[in-house]
Amino acid sequence: MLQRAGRLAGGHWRVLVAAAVGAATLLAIGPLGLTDRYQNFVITTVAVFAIITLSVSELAGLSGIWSVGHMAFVAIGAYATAYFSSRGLALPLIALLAMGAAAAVGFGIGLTAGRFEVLYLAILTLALALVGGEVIGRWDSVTGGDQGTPVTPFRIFGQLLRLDSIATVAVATATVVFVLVDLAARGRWGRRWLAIKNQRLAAISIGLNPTIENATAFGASAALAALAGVLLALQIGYISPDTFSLTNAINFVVAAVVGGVGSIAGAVLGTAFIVVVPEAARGAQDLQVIVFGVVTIAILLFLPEGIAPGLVRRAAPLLGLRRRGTAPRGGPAGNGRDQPPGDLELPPVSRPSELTVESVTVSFGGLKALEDVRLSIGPGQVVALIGPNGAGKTTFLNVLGGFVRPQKGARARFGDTDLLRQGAQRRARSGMARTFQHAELFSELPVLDTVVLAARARHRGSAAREAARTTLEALRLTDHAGSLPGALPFGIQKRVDIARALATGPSLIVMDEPFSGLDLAEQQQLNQLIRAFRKAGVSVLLVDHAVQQVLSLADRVFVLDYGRIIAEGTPEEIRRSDAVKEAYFGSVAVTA
Amino acid sequence: MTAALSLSGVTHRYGAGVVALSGISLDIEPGTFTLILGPNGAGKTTLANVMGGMLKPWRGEVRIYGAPARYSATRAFNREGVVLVPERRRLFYRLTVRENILLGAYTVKQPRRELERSLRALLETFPSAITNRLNVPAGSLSGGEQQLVAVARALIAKPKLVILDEPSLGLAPRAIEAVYDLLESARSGGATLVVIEQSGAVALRYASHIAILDGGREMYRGAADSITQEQILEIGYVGRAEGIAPDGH
Amino acid sequence: MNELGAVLISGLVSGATYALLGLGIVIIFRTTDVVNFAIGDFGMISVYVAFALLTHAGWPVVAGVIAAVLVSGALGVVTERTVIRPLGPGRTFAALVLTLALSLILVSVAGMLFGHTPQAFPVLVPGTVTLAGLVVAWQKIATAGLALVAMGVIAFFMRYTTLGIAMRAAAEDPYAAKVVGINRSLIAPLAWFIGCGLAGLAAVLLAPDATLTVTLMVAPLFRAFAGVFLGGLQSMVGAAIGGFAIGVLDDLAGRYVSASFRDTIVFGIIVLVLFLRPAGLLATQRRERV
Repeated sequence: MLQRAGRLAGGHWRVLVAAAVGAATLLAIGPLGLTDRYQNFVITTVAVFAIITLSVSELAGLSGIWSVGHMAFVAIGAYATAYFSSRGLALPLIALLAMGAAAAVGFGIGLTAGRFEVLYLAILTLALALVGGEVIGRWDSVTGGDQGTPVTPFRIFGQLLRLDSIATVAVATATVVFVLVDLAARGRWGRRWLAIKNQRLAAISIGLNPTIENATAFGASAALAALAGVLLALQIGYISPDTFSLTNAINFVVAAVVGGVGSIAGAVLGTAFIVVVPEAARGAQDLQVIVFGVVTIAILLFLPEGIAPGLVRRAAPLLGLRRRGTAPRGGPAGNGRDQPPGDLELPPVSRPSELTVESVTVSFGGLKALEDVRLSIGPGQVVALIGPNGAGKTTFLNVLGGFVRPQKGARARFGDTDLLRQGAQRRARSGMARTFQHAELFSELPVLDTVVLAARARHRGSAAREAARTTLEALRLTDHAGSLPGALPFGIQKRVDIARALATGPSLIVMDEPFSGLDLAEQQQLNQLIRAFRKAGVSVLLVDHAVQQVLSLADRVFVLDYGRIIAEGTPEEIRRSDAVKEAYFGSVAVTA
Repeated sequence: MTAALSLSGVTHRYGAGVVALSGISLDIEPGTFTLILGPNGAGKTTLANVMGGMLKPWRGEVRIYGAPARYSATRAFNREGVVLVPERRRLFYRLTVRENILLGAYTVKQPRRELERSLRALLETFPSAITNRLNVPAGSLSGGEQQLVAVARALIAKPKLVILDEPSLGLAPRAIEAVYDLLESARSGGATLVVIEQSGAVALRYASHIAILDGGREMYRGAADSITQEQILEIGYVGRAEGIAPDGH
Repeated sequence: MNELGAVLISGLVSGATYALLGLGIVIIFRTTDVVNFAIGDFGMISVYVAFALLTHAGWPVVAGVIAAVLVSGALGVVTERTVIRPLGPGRTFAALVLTLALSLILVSVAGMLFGHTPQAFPVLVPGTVTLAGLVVAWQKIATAGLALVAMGVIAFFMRYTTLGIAMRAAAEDPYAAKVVGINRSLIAPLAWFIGCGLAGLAAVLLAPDATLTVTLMVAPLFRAFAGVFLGGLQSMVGAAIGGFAIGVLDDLAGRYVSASFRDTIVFGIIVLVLFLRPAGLLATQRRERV
């Protein structure tokens, strides 16, 4: 509970600080008049650039997408402002238009994110920046080409916007943006994006759609960059192509990395770094760049997480703070036996369904990984699929999960749905959940957030949180609700994985090697848990090596070897089968 | 006699909590063929990496022919004549078969001609499917052929001790026998062998000693003929049976 | 027809230098996972050194070229030792930003040391020759020839020497390389030496056609990167072919389509290729049979 309270307070704390810094700055440049024109100009630059850095940094931090091309979106905002200012459009309308256009372009690029590795996507966005540069240079009628184009000054309440009031607008906008982005990053959007970034497969298994989520993240980030572009146009009053040079584009990546990827405070500090260091060494052009470069390298080497997280890490012990998710004193809670799930009562499942799989054949480059595999699981049944390493178990799991397409003629029905016609991320919604051999938890999400996210596959609003709490309680995980997975022993991690699957409200749970890596006591707990599933009407497919555990639990066993089902029957039949002994033990039947 | 490889009290854990090995003490006598069996998650690969010099154990002592092992670089192990055939073979799939095998002698300063001679000698017993394809990428061989190449890579420098991690993984029975025949010939040439397997009917026919690992602990150790296959099944695969004491002889 | 021939030749010649640069980028990336954005500037610095040796110390041209290669390679080794290795493994993006910062530093240091006035770098081989009706500068032939020889040497080294084979092995599977005893702390600086040395050669070949300024390598580096992504970051052959392809495409687009949309056209083609083959034209997949 304490950890959770700390987390909430931490969240509020961040928002409050952001608002306070914003308000203080507004006071300083406004009513108090503490700053001169030049300082106002620098403050405005920091505010505007900070929005750009934030858009780059949060996209990387939450979605793992690095964009070098965000200057193109800034340009959209700036040129839209210049173009429409001379045509008398209201500023808010222009901002909306620009943000919408940038969001659309960003969404389109984001749709492709899943296809590429990080570096390739970075190059793709670099191409965007280059193309943007050439378009700016040639589209004279709108951009004024190399000459640039002036921004017609705006009037607000009949007053001409001057630099001082622009500074106010910029700082206020930046403050609002920072608060909103922080809320979103820690809210539902951020959680979904982190989940996808951390464990793509597991995220799909609870019904998230990485393609759409990546596109949304990119679109939102692009819209922010465009908003910054509008402010930039107001500030400089005359827009020329130099502003959007590649060097400037790269500077924002430097700011994001140096400040601390995904860190709100880091975005401000990183921006201050790229604005203030050059300003401070004005006049000595080359020396200024050298200082900038050396400091950047020094920060990368000595504060690997970036300025903001690095300083927090160093300062935390001095202030007696413990960072969320790190192990409590005395190491992690031992062996995961601290709170056994005891007599487990699960609510009965609403719609028990049957899974039937027939004629599944999969080949990889001529090699048959699966051949004519069939398998069926009745409602509330526990079925085991066993077989030696390399028998094709993983491939079968991937077929069920929707990641591998079987050859023609295969059939897979689950309740009323034809599985083979359903995308991978839709399967969670039809009631199929999955657990993973290595737990595959979302490393940046606390346990409760993970389970809430999974519960959204079935529940809306606060019902999801409620369902998540019930699940955690049922699995005796409430004490770990605020912990990050890395701080938990492996046994508990696997239990959280089960909680994540359970929270989606499944009628079938597919478990990949649930016993592997567990000690004896944990294995017994898992036994109880699986029996409770059966009682509640949840079917279970166990895919495992631990033959004894599996045989004592299962109603029915399928044995896979060399991609074929070589035996099927009750545990007793399987125990006596020579074919099975041979599969597991080579030629035991021949030599014994 | 000094043990070729001697482990005492070797314990290793990964990150928070997961103990992969706890208090393993094991002497591998020169000239023996030790089979270490264990189910998934028993700590087998961790043990193989410790024995092969890839992983410095958290605690405990490892000695090679009486001298403390140095984990600073694998080169030390290779130079002492201790080589590892890692799990899933780990060939260089884009390199040719010949390049793969010759890299096994990377740490041994040997004239190229002499190396070519050992290569020819080694390949004498190899199926023509491999000897005819020395200059194709190793990735284009079948699984069984790749495993033979992986063993050849380990044998080219005439090692004193070879540690193999699941050499029969994913192979058809006939391919497994080919691998073990090759190992047997290495042993008659004087090499000491440690083979780690998940299931080992074939391996058991070749082994002189057996150890069973589960949950990071040694469950059984003895001569290979001191235990029946049914008992091994009971201990390692179908769970721990009553009646067979750990470390029983 | 003559004009097309001239465009093709000039495209291939500049393509040869992009190929050298690209090869350097790929060799460094494959062995150390670092995308080195400063590689062009190592070349630029080494050209200034060669320039000083040629014009002030009166060294012969060949010695200047060799000096450029060695200086650039040495800068690479120093960089790997002093900033890349301390950065630690698995930090691809931080390393990229680091080399960007390094590039800024190098350009400014060069500006302070050598000034911002453009210099005329002497041609390696003067004169022209007429080939099938086309007048071609010897300099272009020498450029293409030296680039091809360098690529041949690299190919031989990678294919036939133990060290070269070990480098490819370490690039493919660091764990397995460690198993056979390949020492990474030797392979990494070697890769940086070779990679940056190639950049030095590319720079000294490019310098006579351009004027020597601190931004000498900016545009070529860009095109080399385009070639690398066309061929695939993992493939040495791909980087070389990609470099030639970009050289030709760039000149063709500049001459026949639109001189002002060169970058757009070249990168448009790359984006198109990446959509069809997300890991590059010549990307190979690791194969492991079970």
